[in-house]
Amino acid sequence: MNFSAVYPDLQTLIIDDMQTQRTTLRGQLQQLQINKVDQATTAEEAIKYCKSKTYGLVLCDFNLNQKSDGQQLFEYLRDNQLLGKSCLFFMVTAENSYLSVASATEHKPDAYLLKPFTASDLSDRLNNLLEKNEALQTIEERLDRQDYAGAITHCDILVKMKSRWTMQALQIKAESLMHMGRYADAREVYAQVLAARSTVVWAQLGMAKAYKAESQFEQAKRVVQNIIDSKEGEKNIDAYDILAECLEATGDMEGAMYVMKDSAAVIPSARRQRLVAEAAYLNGDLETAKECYARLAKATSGSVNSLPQDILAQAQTLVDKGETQEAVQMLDAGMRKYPNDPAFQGVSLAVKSQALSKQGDAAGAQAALAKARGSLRRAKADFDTIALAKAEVLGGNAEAGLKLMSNVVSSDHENQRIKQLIGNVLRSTGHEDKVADIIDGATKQINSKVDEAKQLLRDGKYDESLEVIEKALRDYPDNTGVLLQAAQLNCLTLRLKKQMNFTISERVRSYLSRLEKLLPDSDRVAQMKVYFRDTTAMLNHQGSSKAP
Amino acid sequence: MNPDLAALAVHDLKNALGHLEAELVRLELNPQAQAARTARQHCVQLRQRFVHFLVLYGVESELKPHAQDESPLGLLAQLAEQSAYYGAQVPTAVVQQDLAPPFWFFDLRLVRLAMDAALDNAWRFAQSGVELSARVTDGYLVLTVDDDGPGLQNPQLHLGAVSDWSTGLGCQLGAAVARAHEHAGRFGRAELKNRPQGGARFELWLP
Repeated sequence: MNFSAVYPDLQTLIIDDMQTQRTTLRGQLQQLQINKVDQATTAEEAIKYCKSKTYGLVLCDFNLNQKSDGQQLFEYLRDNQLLGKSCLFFMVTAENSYLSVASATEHKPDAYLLKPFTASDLSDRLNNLLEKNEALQTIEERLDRQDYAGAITHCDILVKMKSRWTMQALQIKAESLMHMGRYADAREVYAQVLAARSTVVWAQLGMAKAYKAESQFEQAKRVVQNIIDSKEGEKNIDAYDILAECLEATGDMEGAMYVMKDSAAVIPSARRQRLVAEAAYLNGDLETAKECYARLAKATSGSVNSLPQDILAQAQTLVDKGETQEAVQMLDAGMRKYPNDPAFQGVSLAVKSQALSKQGDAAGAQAALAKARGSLRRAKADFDTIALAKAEVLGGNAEAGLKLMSNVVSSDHENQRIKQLIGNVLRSTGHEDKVADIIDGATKQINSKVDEAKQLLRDGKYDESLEVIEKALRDYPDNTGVLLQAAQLNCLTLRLKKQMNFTISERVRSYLSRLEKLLPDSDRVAQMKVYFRDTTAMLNHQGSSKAP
Repeated sequence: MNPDLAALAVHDLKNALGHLEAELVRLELNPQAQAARTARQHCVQLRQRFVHFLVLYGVESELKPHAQDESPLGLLAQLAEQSAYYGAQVPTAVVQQDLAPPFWFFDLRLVRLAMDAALDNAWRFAQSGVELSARVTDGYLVLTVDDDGPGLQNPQLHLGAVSDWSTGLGCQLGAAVARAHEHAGRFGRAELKNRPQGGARFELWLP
């Protein structure tokens, strides 16, 4: 099928540092009547273009001969939502580097173009993708509306037609079932694909995700291990991630860290190094964390992927290791680099205060701490608050530090990582005896509020129940456990009152959208969404059946 | 890759480059659109052969396919469409389209390279046309390139042993691409044989 009629409307961006290559690409695009073309020579220039315009097609050379390569740029553009949903991203690579480029990537572009290629090759790839988009358009429209049942109906039509896009339809169908919380049905679809072709990696990954969502971690681990051991999947980063998540879910934090380490060896991307460094730090393996942060700093130096948070985490690791001199230098350099980032400045001062305390410079530590306190608006379950709490404890203000740590746990009392970090801080600052008090105490305090709300609901005091849980949320607005409970109690109230209530349903919607941001890809959030959908469907059905 | 074959292939590429240089010299003295078109087509063919060589030369033991569900008919249509650009002197058509499956699992890039090489050979010998088709036989996708040329003088069914295509690079590529495709313990294969009605037939069998 030929889609050349849409070419003249295709706003296109060429990203290449070589003038000759840009001219060649531009000429090829002109042959295809693609004339709305911008050209960028660096990653930074490309980012500016993508911020100012919406592109339909991006042609990016992998080797940008700079700090950022094409893959890093692609990931940056995607992570920062600078590429529209319908934008096609083509990575241009040399023949000899194609395999290494294509196999070791976290996110794949829409197509790879191997140099040298012709206008006709480019047109073939474009036509293929546009044909696919057209064939799946009806399904995509339903997915945009989160109408998963509707999407499945249309997927079934494509499958029944024995269409060229049967596999895509089956993939979307299984993913829709996963969204609906119908994990066993999703597994059935994946099994159907694997029966036809046992090596289809997306189906194996889907199967593992479905097992994981059902807490069948051993089965999930077996499936992903098979992928990693296979020729096709040895560099499949998703498989490593699922394996690490399963290990973490079963309490094997150290095992999870080693899997992350393996994954960073497979794909030595900035994001991977960051994940390993974080996992190592969490496990108290400061030597590995230090190594990984150093590698990360080297890899991202001057690149679009460099993050201010990396400097803070690296400096904190050095302070914990007792290498305070180096940490202070790093923080001072960071504060000069990001002078207009107040949050960065505040946390830098908190970490610097810790370093100065360790060096015996009490006055310097207090001065830094005083400024750091001023920048913290509200205690949260995050790195920033923990850094300040630690600075307080090391600066001799144990009571203030311990209170902050208790608030950190209360802010997200089901977050195992945060609890582990707080445990590490308490142990390393000589307060090992308070681990149980602080962590369990804060957890108990929140749980008692949740229990009180549940009891009120059981007693038929629906509005009072909601008042209690809303109060807990006002105190700790980012507490994911409380948010989930609040969503559930609100749904239960709707069900028990057997009446649709706009205020309550909007409230649940806002909780779910906050949860999606705080816990992306969480199975628990997905299940709560299903529960809410079922609740509204049930009440709407009751409402309509009551109508005369 | 066999070092003798590699040396032979490079030698052949060097000669082809020499021919192209001579064409360009003639063109410089006497610029003509038709001659420029022919030189460009030779340049395209030469580039293709370089790519084929690099695919085989670049791998240490075997090709690693990334098989995905692809449209066999889509591939054949694209191959037929490009025939003029690649300098085919005879028409190329996709036939028996109803026999083709809607999709099959293969590495589009590798299979396309193998088919390019087979087509290049077919165009060289065809008298009046080349036909492309796809069908399923015994659980294999069979991609076929038929020409109506003189056929093979010394037909051998297994491509690894055939060395009719210039240096044999095309044959080796077809065989390597086919072999790299495996499904449920079955491997692909490439065959080159005479057609009963005359002409040669290349078949790429993919499990």
